[in-house]
Amino acid sequence: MVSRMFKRAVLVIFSLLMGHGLWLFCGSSTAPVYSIGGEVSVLEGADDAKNVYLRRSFALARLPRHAWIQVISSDRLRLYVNGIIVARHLSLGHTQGTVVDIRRHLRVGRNTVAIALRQGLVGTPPAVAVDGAYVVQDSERSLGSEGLWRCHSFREKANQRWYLADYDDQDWSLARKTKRTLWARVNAPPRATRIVGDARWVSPPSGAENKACVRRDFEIFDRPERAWIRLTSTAPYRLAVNGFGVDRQEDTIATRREINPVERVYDITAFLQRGHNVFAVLLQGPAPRLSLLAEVEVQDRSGRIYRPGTDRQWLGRRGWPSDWLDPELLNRHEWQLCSEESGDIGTAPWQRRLQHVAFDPPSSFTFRSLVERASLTAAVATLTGLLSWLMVGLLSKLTSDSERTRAALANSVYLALIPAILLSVCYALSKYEARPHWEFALRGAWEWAPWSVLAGWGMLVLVAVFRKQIDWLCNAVHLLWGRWRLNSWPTLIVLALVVAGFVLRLAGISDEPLHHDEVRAYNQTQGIFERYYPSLHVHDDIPTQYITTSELVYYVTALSALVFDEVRYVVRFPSVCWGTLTIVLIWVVGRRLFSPGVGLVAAAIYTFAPLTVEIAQFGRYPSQAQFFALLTVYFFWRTISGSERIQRGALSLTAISFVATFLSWEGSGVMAAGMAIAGLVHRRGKLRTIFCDPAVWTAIAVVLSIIVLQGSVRSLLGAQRLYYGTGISDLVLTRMWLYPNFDLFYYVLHASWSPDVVFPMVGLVGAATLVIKHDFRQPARLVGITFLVTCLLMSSIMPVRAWRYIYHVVPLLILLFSAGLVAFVRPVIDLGRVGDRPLWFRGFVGAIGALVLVVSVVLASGKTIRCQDSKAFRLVSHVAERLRNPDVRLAAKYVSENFRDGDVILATKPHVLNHYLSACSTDYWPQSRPTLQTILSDRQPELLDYRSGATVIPSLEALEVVFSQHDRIWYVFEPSVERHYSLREVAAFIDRGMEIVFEDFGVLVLFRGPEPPSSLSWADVKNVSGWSQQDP
Amino acid sequence: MAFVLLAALLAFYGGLRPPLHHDLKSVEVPFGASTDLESSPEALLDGRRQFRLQSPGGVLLVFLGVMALIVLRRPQHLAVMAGGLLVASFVLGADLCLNHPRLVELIDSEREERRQIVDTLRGLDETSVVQARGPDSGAALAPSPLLIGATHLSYWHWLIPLSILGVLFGNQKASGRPLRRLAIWAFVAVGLASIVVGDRVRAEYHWNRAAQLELSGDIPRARQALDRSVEVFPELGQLQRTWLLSGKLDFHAGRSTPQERLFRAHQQADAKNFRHAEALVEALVLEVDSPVLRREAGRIFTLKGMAHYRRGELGAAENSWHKASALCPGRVDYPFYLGIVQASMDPSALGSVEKKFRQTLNRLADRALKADILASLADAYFDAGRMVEARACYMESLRTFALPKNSNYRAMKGLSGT
Repeated sequence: MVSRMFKRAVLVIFSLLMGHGLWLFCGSSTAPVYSIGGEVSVLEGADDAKNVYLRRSFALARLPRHAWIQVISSDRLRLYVNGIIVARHLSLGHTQGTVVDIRRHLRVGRNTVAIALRQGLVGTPPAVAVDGAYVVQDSERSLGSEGLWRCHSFREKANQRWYLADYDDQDWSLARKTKRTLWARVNAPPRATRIVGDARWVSPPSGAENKACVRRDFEIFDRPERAWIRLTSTAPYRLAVNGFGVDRQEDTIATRREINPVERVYDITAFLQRGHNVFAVLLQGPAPRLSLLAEVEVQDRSGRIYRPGTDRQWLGRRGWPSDWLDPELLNRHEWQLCSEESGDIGTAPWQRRLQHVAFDPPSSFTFRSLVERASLTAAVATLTGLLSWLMVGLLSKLTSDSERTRAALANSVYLALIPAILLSVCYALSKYEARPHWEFALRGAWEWAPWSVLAGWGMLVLVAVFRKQIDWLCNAVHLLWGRWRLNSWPTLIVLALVVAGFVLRLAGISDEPLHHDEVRAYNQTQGIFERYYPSLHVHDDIPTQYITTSELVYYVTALSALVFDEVRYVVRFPSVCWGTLTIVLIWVVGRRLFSPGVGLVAAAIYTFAPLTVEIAQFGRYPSQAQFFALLTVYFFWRTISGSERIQRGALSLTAISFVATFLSWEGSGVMAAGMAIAGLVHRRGKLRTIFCDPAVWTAIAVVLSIIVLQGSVRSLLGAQRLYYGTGISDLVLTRMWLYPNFDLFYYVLHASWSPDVVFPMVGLVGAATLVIKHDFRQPARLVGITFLVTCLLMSSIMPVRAWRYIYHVVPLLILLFSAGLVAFVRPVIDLGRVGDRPLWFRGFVGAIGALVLVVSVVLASGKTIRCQDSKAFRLVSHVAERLRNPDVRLAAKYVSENFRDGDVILATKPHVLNHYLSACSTDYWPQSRPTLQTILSDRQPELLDYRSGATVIPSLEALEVVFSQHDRIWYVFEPSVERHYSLREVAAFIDRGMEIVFEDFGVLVLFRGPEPPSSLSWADVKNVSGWSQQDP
Repeated sequence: MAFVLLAALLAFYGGLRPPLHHDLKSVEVPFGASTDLESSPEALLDGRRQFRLQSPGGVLLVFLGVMALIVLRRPQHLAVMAGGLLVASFVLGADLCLNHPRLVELIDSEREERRQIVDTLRGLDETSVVQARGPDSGAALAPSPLLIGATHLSYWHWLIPLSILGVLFGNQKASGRPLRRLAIWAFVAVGLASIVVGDRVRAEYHWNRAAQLELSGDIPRARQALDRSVEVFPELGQLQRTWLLSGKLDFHAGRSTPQERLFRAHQQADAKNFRHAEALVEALVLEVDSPVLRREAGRIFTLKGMAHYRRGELGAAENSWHKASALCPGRVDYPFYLGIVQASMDPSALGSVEKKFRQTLNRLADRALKADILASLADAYFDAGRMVEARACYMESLRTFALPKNSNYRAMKGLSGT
């Protein structure tokens, strides 16, 4: 029964995927995915600084008819043209590209293209590939990387904008040029922006009516691969391609308002077909003369290019002909050739704006596509079914003497479809990958998918013909294998995973400088050595602060501090250990709750998932809380499994583990609700075994006492921070569904271990089917309910929202996914266990099962294909391998060396700066937006920062007083967070009054004073002797 | 019983969630098109709401009452009753989303109204809490007008997964396969729903056909299709989009009708040509009395008022918003705009300003907007030196919206007196 269902499922999935593939190959054209790049020349900074500022200036005697620029980079980027930002890339962990029209931003005289780069990836210095051109008087000049580009490692002088044309960059060095392979996806056809085109303005025959239609018929000799139209009109219009309405721009048909000249680009690939095609444009409106300019480019599969842009071959007709949408021109005599206009008919090309139009295809078009797809899928299903049937018949005939071989071969016919399915799934996923090289690589592999089926079937015929020899060979191998095989191979695999996981986590431990929370964690850890409790004493005017969140974490870092001297190791090494221990734990839990296969799959995914690796290098609570959360679920399962009395020993361990989870991070306490519901569901009908057991109530009482005690201490100590501002310690449970920013599924999605949500959500849906009727249903219900209730409850009652708050339940989702995957593969393996099957068949099904598992784990790990090109799937917060933490180390060194008596220091993060400063400390903390809590000084009428003791500057007036009282002022400034702390008026005052003297990753050093210190480049400061990568 | 209770809670509190007004419960929305003033969409949104047994929520509550009795006596029938609940919640939910297009259009238009209030508040203070993400982006989820209602559902849609869980796990000992049972119930639900909302779907088909024919230039047949659409489902004729499409058809045909003039006024307003738009709608409102017309006229005068306000022409802005308020008194935002203008023009009349703000606040459900409006009122009191009232308003603002990482800066700063 299982095998029959499985065969049907395989046949349906194969048909769907192959039908879709066939449709992509020979059905209607589809909108392509555009990529730019290749082996390109890139610009780099003169040193290895993490910031690079690039400029290129050029002079124009007259405005260009056409100008564009293209940038490709893996880093955070801003592209300016004459001071205006025209493109911006965020740091998304992959290469991004932009092609932009810059005509409107150029002017007669000196022009400047400027690029600000901030390193995006760990270990890769910032670089950008630039290409571009402008056309003046039919002569094209390049704006690419090969020109004279100057670079610098920081933006000096805040009041002289480095990106403006009149900035003097003569002292900047020349940018380095190297070759790199960079590919990036772009949303719109890049050539539509790049090419100048040779189309002319055309006008339909003149007449009294204020409507006119123009059309162009043309032939395409092969399947269209990519096609676009760039359309400019003097009047409102409707565009139709092959009878399908593509767009209407009719917002002004009832007004007499002149329309702005806009060049609109449409990707029309999906609407075109091999053979006859037609564009039709209906112009309407009050324009005295209805005219149109259309650049068109079509490329077919053979590589032929067609450019049926507007020219004398376009036909026109006054009025609104009823047949204007008809693909075939029936009344040819009523149409006349359009007249070609000379010049630009009053709309200068440099005034036009280029706009890429995204549009939904009409429903009739979508319906047609669906019918095509369904037909092809049905055809493939029929053909595959027929061929499979014939194949089974052929193999039966060949093996009529052996019943067991015949049955095995019949099953193998369907199993041979699985490699093709896997190839198709990989290729389909690569369509959503932001890195185009995956698609290039998998497209070739996917074309072999049908051949892999034929090859598999061919092998089966060989097996049928040479069955006796193969049986003999298999028996020999079996004998040998039996002698050598190890029963402990799962343990060995887990051991290898643990080693790999530990190395992966440890390797990147010092890639990033300390995060500001890690600095606090370190300072609070030091409190243990002074007061036996995590605490801070930062200023004589404020009391010692005893920590009331994640208390347990600091005792572990204190142990680490006994072993390591370097701060990053002190705070991060415990996380590496917790992360590595979780690999073992998830294996144990998967094995005990589900099966050894589930444990192995879960451990493999957890080991390599980018998120788990990255968090294990973060020196705070998430890894520790996660370990204890998983342990709690495991002990809870041990407590309630079975149907008799609950296991009291396991209950005690559950309570202890839960308390450890809670004291690692209080928010994880929400998990208790999920576990309680899961327990009640599991023991429904036998609730007496729970409610009538005094041990349960004792455990609950103990846990509640600790929660209440912790909360009381938190409230009591929170009273120290009387002044305005908020912090996590203010947190009270809130009915979040009453707030407009409520998102119920936020935590469900952000519990993903991968930078996208595809596999985690597939796993969740798969697990939902398991809980209905499967051997895994009991543990799947427990894990599923605990996971879902925790996520939904946290969204519903937690007034703060950050993806890391749900990190403690990520292993539960991994377990659910792994259980679903193993449950899916198990029927394949079971095929080999039914009856007395030949050895070769057992090996074959084992190999297919292993292939499915390995491919799924590799895809799901998040290390390979990441579906980040689609916003629907992408999790920006989970982007892997990117640089995150601002680097204050060199900035602090620079300030320390130039500090004089009487100077004052301001900082965005005073406690971080103090950590690195020597012989001086931060005096002031500008916080004009009341974001974080502050403490009233015991002696002075002033507010103090509770992390560093720095005096708070709460307003512009207070800042002005500081500026008036001191001659030399330093400000170590983090632009990315400054907007959270400062009002615009304060930011503008600082911008006007201070100069930039140094910059590193995410940090600026500003100075105000009579003798500004020499502005040094990043390399200059770095090369000062005595500086090392080590944290003090 | 927990299952039935949860379902009853969802049925009672479930309904439609407008971006600005308080939730419209399913027990307050009567079946079918509104025939009287009391149950008109405007009246429902405006707060004149009452419990109705002849409503999706009312019927479902009765069903759940019966279900509770049966399940208490025969717990083994829970799975069957859950199947019934699946059918009932799906069919009644479809009725709620699809058979009240005017109400849904009104609710949907509040997205734009919310955006306008947010823009105004952001202009008043850079630390407004409305920076927090709002429900503005929901429109992108609705691919067609038919599905817009579903994007405004609140709580009701959870009845479907709940009843699915009931079908799957309601009775472990029942014979047969749970998935198969679920498929049968789902088939019944879709079948019944297609009967209940069949007219609306047919009308939408004709409406889309009219739009398609208009595209091809076949105006007479487009008119026929549009008329047919309204004939099948008369409430469609009272929608703004139907008026605009009808107006466009008349515009192409060269006929001067109220719809054609409304279409022209709409385009003039979008082109910021308010003088022409105003002239057209003022004449139209005198001729024809229609809620669609009044609403569109209100929109045009609001946009005009906004344009004046941004240019600092407070008197002209007040005048425009007064006209808008007179034409379309149901909108929640007019008192707020008038209050803002009055606070700027006459800071001594803060009592009257508060009265206006309270009119908006009493009908507003969005906490972020409420908090900001209260902080604006408090700022006005603060600037006028009336600290007691300012403190009360700041406190109220903080009580309305204060989240640890989405702080209500204005209220906190105001309370601290800086």
